[in-house]
Amino acid sequence: MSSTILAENTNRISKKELLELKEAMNQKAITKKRIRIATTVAANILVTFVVLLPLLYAVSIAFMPSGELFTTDWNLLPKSPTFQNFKDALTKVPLLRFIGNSFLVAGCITIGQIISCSLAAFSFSFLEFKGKGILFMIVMATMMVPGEATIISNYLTVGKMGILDTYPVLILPYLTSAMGIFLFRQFYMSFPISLYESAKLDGCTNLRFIWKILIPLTKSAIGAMAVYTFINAWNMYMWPLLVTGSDSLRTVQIGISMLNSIDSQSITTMIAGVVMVIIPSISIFIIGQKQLIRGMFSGAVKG
Amino acid sequence: MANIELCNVSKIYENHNCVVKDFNLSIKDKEFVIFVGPSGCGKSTTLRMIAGLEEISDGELWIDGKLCNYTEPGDRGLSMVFQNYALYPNMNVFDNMAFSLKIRNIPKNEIKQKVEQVAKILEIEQLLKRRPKELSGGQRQRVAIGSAIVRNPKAFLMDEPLSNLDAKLRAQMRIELAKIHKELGTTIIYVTHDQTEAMTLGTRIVVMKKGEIQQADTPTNLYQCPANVFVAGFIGSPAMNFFPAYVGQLAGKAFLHLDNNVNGTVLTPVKKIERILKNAYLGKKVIVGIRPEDIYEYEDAKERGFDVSMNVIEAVVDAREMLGSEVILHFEFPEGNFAARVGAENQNYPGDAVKLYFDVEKLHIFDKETEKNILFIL
Amino acid sequence: MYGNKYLGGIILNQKKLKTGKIEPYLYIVPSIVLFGVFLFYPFFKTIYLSLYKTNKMGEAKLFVGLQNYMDLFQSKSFYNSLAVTLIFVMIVVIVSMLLGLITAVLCNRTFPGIRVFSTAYALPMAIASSSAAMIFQIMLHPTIGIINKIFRLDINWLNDPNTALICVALLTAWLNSGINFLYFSAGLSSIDETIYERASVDGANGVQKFFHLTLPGLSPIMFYTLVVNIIQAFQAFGQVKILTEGGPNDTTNLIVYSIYRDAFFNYRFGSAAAQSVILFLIVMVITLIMFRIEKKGVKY
Repeated sequence: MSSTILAENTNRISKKELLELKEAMNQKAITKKRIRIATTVAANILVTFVVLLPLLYAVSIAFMPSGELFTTDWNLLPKSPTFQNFKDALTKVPLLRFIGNSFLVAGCITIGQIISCSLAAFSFSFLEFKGKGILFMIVMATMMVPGEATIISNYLTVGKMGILDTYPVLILPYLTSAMGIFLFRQFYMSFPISLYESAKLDGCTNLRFIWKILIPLTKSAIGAMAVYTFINAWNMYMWPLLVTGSDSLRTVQIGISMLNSIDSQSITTMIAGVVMVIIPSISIFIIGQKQLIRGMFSGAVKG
Repeated sequence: MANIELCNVSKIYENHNCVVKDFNLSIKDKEFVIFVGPSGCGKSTTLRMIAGLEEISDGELWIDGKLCNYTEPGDRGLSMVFQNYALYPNMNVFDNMAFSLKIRNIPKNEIKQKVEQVAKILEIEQLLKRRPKELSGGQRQRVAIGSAIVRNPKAFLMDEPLSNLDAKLRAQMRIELAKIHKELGTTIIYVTHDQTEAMTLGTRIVVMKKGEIQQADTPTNLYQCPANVFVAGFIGSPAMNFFPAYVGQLAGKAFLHLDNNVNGTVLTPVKKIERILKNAYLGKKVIVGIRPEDIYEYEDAKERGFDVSMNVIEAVVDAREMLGSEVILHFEFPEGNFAARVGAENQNYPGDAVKLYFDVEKLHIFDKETEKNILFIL
Repeated sequence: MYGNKYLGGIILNQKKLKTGKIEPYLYIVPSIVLFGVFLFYPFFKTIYLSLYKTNKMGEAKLFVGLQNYMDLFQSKSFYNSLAVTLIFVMIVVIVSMLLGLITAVLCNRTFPGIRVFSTAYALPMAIASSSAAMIFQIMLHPTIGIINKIFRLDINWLNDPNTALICVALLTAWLNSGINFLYFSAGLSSIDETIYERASVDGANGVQKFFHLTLPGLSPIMFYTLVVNIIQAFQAFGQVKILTEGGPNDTTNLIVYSIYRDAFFNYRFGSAAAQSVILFLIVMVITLIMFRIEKKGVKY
């Protein structure tokens, strides 16, 4: 049968013409594909440059001797790169102490939120109890209250409690979050309730169920939560600004603005400090990015 | 409206993985062609190459005498129904059906008329305002088909359109598809892995395996004269029984020794088959195939007037499946287990030894090496 | 003995039942207590404070009813900060969502190096407003800043009432664009690939696909992103504090900054509390309106 088809076709178009056409079209397709990729990459490079410009610029200045900065000339890159700014930043203010404080505070907040949120979410998704619906509504309603609307009263409260300028005051208010509860609950709801029921039939206690079954199953949600919470805690500004006064307790974001002095000669030092402060949060973000996306958006899009 | 010809079409991926190989097929106007085969056989890829969603690596695609290898999918004049229906979730049913017309800037009232007319055929007029999310599986299916019909395409391409429906709905839609094909008289190319769909719908079935056409023929021919072991085993349910066999000679006549065993069960082929075997296959190994419905109970065969002096074997029932109108008996047998389709009144149960007659007139014999049917190829 | 054992069994059962009833609450107690102390209590206390004149310690001294609110609605500076906040929120939301959408579309189809680019686009979400503000401060510096150098301008961006707000808004938009990129990327990847294939067979070109399929396909996530962005934009603080401190001429005196200034510089806690309540009401009303619109419009 195939030979008859071929015979028919050769009447319409000769074999040679066909081959030429094929060659030409393939070439065209390849060129088209190449152009498409090239334009995509080019556009991406351009936009990435714009998006990253502040960061690249900061890194560049951080390595610049302060003399080089003060010209009206084009000075995108340091001509004689130096680590002096970093050294200055570390000696001018107790930056390492600030970084340590921030790690402590952000770490505690992250761990605390994961524990409190996963416990609450477990109860909301697997257990039955009176007032569950209302309680969950109340928790969700807290998402609507902007933190800034309560910050004054909170400040007055902790002032009265006499815990201003301590670690607990930085940590306590952030040990839970409605978003975290919501996120974990979203994840838990995707498990069939029979998972819980069969564990119960096997004589598994609730805590054991959480520890042995839920946590291993929700690693990606925990990862996402951890990255997100840590970064937000690391970047906290207004609350630490209000409640800390002494150098020994300041977190990085407040501490770094101490470098923001009027002395314009110290701009490079300040930026070096900023770069050092940004590095931890960026590193955690890059390391945890995959987790973050998988954990946060697998549920969010469907909902 | 459309003649579609595929000449030596191949699909080779960049890693030199060849999923479709030298595909030759001429589809005439008004045919209902089914591509069927196990998953990964290249049937969907072939369909997508016709649609223009996959590049054709080699060979030519002719639609109505026009070389279409490099034509944009939208300009090929074909429309496609996808496995998951691919309805635009943000548009209601009317807009879904009208989309292909709208982007061609067809006047609004013309579109309206057309869509309503098609909706009437498919009985989805009352759904036009709904969104896909608010429709049941069967309704979505109709909308998808409707969106394809509206354009008056040269041919419909359907990629497993019924596989997401439950069994009952699938049977119902099958009948409706057949009706639609008759009413519209358009060419349909239809991909499925379900041989029942293929047999009931197709005017021609293309059985594929590993990117190659095994056989392209009418359902009847495919069933009665399968070209090779694969087609024979793929089409028909329960599947054809196969026995390895050795062609021996006794008193100048060719005989089939099942399981290559001269001392085992012997089948005596009818004259026509015997002649072919004697001419070319004496002393060689073959594969014998027989369909479950060509195996009869001894008494039943006798009543029907078969010559039961030969080709009778005894086997033990291994399992019994009552299907209502018939019973499938599965037998344990030293030369190879097999199944037989018997009447509903049959009273044999697992453990019973049953005498059976093989209707040798309906035997299929395949070459052991090439697995080709030696009765019809020669 | 026998009876005792039996009794014990009953007691045990009852105890079990009881813990079964209390146990679910135990898991939510930590969260509820924290919400109570640091959210609900201060929330109601803020409302309470807003009805009082306070002393420098922030203690409620004199009940004045709605006087604090009335004062606000008669104060030019409050209207100014409302107006400034609205403009700010609009710029931030539009720019950051556009940036997020553009970057997400750019990274929609795979190409070599996509991982690097998508990390870059999401990166701003990892950066603190204060750190970013300090970097922008240098970039916008009138003599040594890169912006003036690139565009060969001589503008004192942060001290010019015409440009200060825009600068702070653009900085905020940049910060928020990272998470928007992630939202939109997730939205794009949730669009069923086959509808694009069907559209190709139907004859749609790239532009038609974008406007008929991609944008509508993004609308559910777009809506969610919009709400989140608006709420977030209302809360900007660090960048204002560092870049402009509300100036010049109060052109960047966003409501949160105004609250901060009233409370911690002027010690007018009552007025600050009243502004907090208004901020909350605005955010709530916007959220409710958005959800109302969503119920009517973007459903599928």
